Amino acid sequence: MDPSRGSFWRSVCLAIVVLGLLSLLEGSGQLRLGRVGLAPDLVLSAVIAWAFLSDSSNGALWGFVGGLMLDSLSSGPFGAYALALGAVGALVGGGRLSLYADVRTWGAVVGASGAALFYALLLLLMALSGWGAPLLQTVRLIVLPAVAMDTICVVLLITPMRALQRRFPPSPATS
Amino acid sequence: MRKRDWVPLLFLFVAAALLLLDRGGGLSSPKAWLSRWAASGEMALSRLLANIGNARVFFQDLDELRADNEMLRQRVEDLTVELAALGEVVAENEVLRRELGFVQTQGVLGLRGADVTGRVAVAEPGNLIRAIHVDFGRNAGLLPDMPVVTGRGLVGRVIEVEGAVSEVLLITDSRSSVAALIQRTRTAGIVRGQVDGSLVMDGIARDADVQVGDIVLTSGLGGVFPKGIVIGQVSQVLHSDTAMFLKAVVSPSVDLSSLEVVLVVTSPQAVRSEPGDGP
Repeated sequence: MDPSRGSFWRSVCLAIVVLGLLSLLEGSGQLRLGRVGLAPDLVLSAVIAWAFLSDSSNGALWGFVGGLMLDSLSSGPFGAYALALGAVGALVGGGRLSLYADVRTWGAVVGASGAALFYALLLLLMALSGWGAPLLQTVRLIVLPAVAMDTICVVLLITPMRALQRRFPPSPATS
Repeated sequence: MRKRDWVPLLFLFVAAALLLLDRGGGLSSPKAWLSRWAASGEMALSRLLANIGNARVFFQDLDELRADNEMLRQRVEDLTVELAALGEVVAENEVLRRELGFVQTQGVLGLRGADVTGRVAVAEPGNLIRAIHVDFGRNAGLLPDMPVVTGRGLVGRVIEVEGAVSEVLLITDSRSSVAALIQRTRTAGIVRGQVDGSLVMDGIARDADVQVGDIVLTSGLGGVFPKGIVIGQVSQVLHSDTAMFLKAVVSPSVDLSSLEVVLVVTSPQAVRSEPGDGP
């Protein structure tokens, strides 16, 4: 294994530190905006940005770790965030196209798709766990504005995540 | 298949297993441990952010604070005079009630039974659930469904209790519903949380007299919330020619976005008396 490309455990530690801080910031309630009190999903945005620049395994790893952090702060069903974020990380990382990785517009498309998929999965998992909310209202008032905010966040996070990956290269896709 | 193709599937499998274990109640201990650590970290971060914010506000608002201080001194003097006059009114009211044979069932305006005070440790991450974690739990005698309040009114109810941390569902969550009444007319209804975080009182009789500014209180029906806790004020009445019931938008009396300290009503006899409560 090429030592310069980092190791699995270094990726885990980095994910715990970065996503831990972001989840604490998200759980502080300081970022809520407007009358509805929506907040950008920082952990989700970081997972999408990281997966966009790496691969499926690293995306799933970051999604799983970030999901566990949010699950420990949430009163929702434990594991729902881990499953939804893990799936989003794996799919975004698996579907990335290196050729377009430098194009901001492509980052926005991936950000919007990833955030929409995350909310679809989370709503499904919560509905299966007995959490019921009017779907159309939830999509109109919560999901769509949140996806828009998260898309902006993903685009903004791509540059710092790229710098972080240069400093701490994720473990390679094949070994 | 590449060696690491199974890694994403492994994470998803573990997450799904956690979800299933949680549904079966097999994760209460590790979840409590994680929640406690998360709450500690969150409180440390909140304190840091609050200190930074306080320092900035202090330097920005020094002049404003001086002016406010002067105004508040004046207000205290005015209120002292007003309080003395109200004391006379209370005494007169007691005499008149006695003469009319009213039974004084409740004491002065105040909340009894709200005896556990704690800090709000964590707000709910994400945008779908409106809940908070507080830094006290079973150790302090909390049980699920106990009402949570502040001095200004109703906050929500306890939904999950661990040793030193509890989860509180806010009244603005879309799963929350509270039996309520309009203080002025005693009209009953149900206050429900909405997806957008607002409160709507529905189930109000079509011909009921509901006005903007009316105070909405808990009615005590349903057994979870004691009677007489302030929920909020009617900010809009929604008439419809086709609906069987009236609806009213209610502004919560408590600012649920900036909660710091809350009380839990632990006594089932806890009541809040209100002017006009008679026999």
